Amino acid sequence: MTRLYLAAATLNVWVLVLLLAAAFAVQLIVGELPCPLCVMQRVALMLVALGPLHILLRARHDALTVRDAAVGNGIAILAALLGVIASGRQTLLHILPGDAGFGSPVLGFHLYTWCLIAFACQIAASAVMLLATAWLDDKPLDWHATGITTLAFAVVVVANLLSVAAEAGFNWDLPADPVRYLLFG
Amino acid sequence: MVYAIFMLLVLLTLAAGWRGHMLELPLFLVTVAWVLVHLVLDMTDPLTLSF
Repeated sequence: MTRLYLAAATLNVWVLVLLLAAAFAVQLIVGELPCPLCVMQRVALMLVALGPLHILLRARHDALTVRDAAVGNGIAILAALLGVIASGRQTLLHILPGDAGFGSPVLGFHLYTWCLIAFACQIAASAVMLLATAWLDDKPLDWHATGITTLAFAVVVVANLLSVAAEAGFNWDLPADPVRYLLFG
Repeated sequence: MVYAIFMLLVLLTLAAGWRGHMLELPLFLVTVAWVLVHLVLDMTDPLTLSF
């Protein structure tokens, strides 16, 4: 059962990494720079990923305990609630009929609406993961996906960090409707 | 700049988790609290993050 639990945590991180990479791809391919609330949602996605990563990292050298799993899922739920605040606010800002929304829609929804759905799904998934701790066993096992999963997450965070630093330039905050990378003039 | 600092804090938390350092959870909680304060302050000023 622990193997299945770690597989689920790994899948959870990869889904979040792919979401962050997809948002980054939209930024680079479509050329739409993320607004401050969009960046806040990316930060919330990163904070969510720290939850399942906590579980994976704790299981590297020892058997996964219920305590470690509970802390990891607590991290994910708390961060997902933060994401619900950011994406819910942005969705409500554009909810009036006739409002075209911010940015281009992807598969019919704007990215902030997708984020709201993702954060709601994350809370549900973490609740299921908490329930599943009832079937954890005490056996330590080798889980080789932890290193590459952590590396992929770190790469996507660093890429976003560099991008937002270029976008903000030497300013403390981002403009509400960014159109260029301020670091490059 | 503030968003880059948030992401730097995420990386620091990840590094603390990788090393099994006891600062992992405090770093996470500080980041969450700061992000929450930033969001709540924004809601009192609709002109800064209005998009």
